[in-house]
Amino acid sequence: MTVEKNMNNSRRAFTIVEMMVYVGIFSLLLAGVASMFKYLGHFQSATKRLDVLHDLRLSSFRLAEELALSQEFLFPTGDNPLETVHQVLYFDNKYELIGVFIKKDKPSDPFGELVKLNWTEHLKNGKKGEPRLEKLVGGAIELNVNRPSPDYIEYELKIEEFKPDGQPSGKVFSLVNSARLRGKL
Amino acid sequence: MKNEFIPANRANAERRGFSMVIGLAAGTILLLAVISYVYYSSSEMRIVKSMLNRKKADFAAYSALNVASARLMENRWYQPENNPNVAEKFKSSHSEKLVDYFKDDKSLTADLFIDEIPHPKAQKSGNENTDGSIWVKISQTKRQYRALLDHIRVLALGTSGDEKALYFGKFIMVPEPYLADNLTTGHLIDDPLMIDADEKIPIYPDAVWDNAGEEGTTEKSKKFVISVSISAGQKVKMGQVIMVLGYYMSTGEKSTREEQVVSPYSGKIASVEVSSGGDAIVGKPVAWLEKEPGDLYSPKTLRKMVQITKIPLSVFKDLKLENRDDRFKVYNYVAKTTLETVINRMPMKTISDGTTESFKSVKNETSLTGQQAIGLFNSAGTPQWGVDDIEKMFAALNAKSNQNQEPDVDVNSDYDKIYANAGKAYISNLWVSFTPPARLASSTKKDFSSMSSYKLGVQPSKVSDEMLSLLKLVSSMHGVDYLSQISTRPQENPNLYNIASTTNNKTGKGYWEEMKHKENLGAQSDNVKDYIKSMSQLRDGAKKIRVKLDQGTPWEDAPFKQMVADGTANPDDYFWWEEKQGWYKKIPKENVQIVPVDVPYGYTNDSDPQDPFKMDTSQLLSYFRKHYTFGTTLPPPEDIWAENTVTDTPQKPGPPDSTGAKYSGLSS
Repeated sequence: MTVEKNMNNSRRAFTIVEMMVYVGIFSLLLAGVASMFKYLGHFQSATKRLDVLHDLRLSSFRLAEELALSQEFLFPTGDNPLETVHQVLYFDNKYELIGVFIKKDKPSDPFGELVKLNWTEHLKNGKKGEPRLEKLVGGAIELNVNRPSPDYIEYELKIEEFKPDGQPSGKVFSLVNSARLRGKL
Repeated sequence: MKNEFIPANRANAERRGFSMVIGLAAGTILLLAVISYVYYSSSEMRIVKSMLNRKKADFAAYSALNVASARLMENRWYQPENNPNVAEKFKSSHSEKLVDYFKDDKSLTADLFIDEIPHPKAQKSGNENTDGSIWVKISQTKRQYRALLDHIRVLALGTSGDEKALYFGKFIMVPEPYLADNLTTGHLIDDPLMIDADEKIPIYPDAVWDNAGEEGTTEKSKKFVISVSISAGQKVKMGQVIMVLGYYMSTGEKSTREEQVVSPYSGKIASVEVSSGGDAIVGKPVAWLEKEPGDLYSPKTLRKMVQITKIPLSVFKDLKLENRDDRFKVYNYVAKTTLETVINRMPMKTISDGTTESFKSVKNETSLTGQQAIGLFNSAGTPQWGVDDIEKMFAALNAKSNQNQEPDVDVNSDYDKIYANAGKAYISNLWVSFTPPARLASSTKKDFSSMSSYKLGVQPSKVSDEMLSLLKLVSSMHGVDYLSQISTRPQENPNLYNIASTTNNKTGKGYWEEMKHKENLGAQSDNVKDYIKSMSQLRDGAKKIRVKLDQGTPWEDAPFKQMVADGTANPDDYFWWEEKQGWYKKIPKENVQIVPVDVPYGYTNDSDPQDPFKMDTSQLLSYFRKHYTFGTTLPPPEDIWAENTVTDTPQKPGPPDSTGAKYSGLSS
């Protein structure tokens, strides 16, 4: 009995210390896990950012390719090679009139969508309904376009990063690309 | 209270279990994080690698197309060298892996696939004259029709890793080269008023006929040379007198009958085979006229890779491009895309300036609302297409092309008409902004079209005084005013000899305005070839005149009066030609021929004085036409389809056309 009692006493005392140690270790582990979760949060936002960047790159890739294979650049006109405008107008490979610009619901909106409008398609449909706007990328802030020479166009696209909750993070991505008319070997 | 005994080892085991759970949880979370990181990283790497490979494949394919273009500018390297004495076989297609260009990157390859497309109306047998063949002399005694090459189709396949890219290009050449050849340069260009497409043209003395009522008989085999007014290398105009020959009587005496030998075409004298005082043998050329481009035309061939199209993967992913039938499936896709391009171009061009202008007004706006954008596009108006079902139209035109017809030339259906009119608009659009395919300074490029001019293939000339006096005489003889008939449009309006380019802003009038006038276009035709002809030639630009005096021997005054006194000649049958001091027998009306000639214009641009650009305008317009035409989408049945076999057709001199005297001339 005594031994049992002593043992119980010693276990309780030990358990407190032990528990304190446990608590300490557990706190450390919790802190680690919490930081891991926090890191995961960062990681999630980083991967999200990569996805946004990837979308941006793909859109830019497609746009540059379509511009390179187009028949004719219309706007910017190229009259002033140093002039920067914010829209692109061209005839694509099938001589369809295409416009690329940032669409906002209200001009005061901080960002909009970079869209492509195939006006020829709309005309061929007899202008029925609204023309189809193909979204190239969301969160678009600015599109700056130059035409240094008649066959060459370059553009810079700035887009906003969004948090997982859909709110803007305040971070801006910028991507520069260019296209030379390939129809003119 | 009963205290439950808990063994020390059990208590320890529980404690260990508790820490294991936490450890496992922490480990799992850590593992998840690492797996996610690895997954996202590898995914990102895959995406980047895939994009890189796509880009590399794209550049490899485009580079291969560039290589093909550069090589074709030299020649058709895959064909045997043409040797007229050896029967060579010429391939209709060629495949090649470009091994030397991407040595450092084993994952990168580029392949070229080439298909030669003959002129749709080319005749391989060489016995029939068609638009797609040309009658050439291959040796002094042999001629043949040679089929022409319409264009060369090139497919360039780039591969990098798992990614592929395919480009199509159509290599056009104007004038067209011979099909059975390894050249991409065209056959020689005709001089403005040349008819034969031969390299050297023999000039023969007329054959000898006995003149009606002539005293004695005439020597048939030879004539004597009174004078020669040309020498080798000298440029001559059509109708220019190059020598005068006299006739021998069969007794060997020289008669007074003379024959003016005139140059049948404009060109350069290659050689003179007779000399003054010597004899000219009937049936043998007295001179050779060399075909040369002259001042108006350049012997250059316009060559360019056009219709460059990137083929979507969905079109070719299941095809084996080494297989010709599969390649023609790709061409079918390109043909349809090209048709859409041609049909879209005309209506779209009508709104391009307006739309561009409206976008200028918002150039500082960083964004647009949807309605704002629609308003900008709408401000340029709404063009009309006239084609509701492009698929149906393509099916109709393609079927026609596959029967070796040209829908914009052999026009008979509504679809053909729409296509032809779209083609005309395509030509005029390219015409306005034309610059030759060469590296020009941007300033030169911009001003190129405004520095162009068009020179008529004939410059002011008139018939000889002798012929003029003869025409006056026959005018009164026939009661017809031949002198007014020889007047030409450029003589009435000298501005037509040289016309400024289409974009002459000062006068507001230029070549385009002059040529599209109904007087020149005549009855409107849907046929694009008619349109090209009308827009590049001046109707009635010159008049060819020929008067034959073949009714009898001309007599000097004294013997003629004696003949009249003797009753052997009726003076009513003769007329007195003061300048020649002779009595000539009257000629029927059919002996006087005045034929209007359509004269081509030459396109000239001197913006680079060191290397002025000159070309026959019709060739230039044909070059524009080749930008939009496509041709058959049916693969040829044979690998080898063109040989340089010779069709032996002995060349004969032209038929004799005068006995007494022949006067020819050109009024322009």
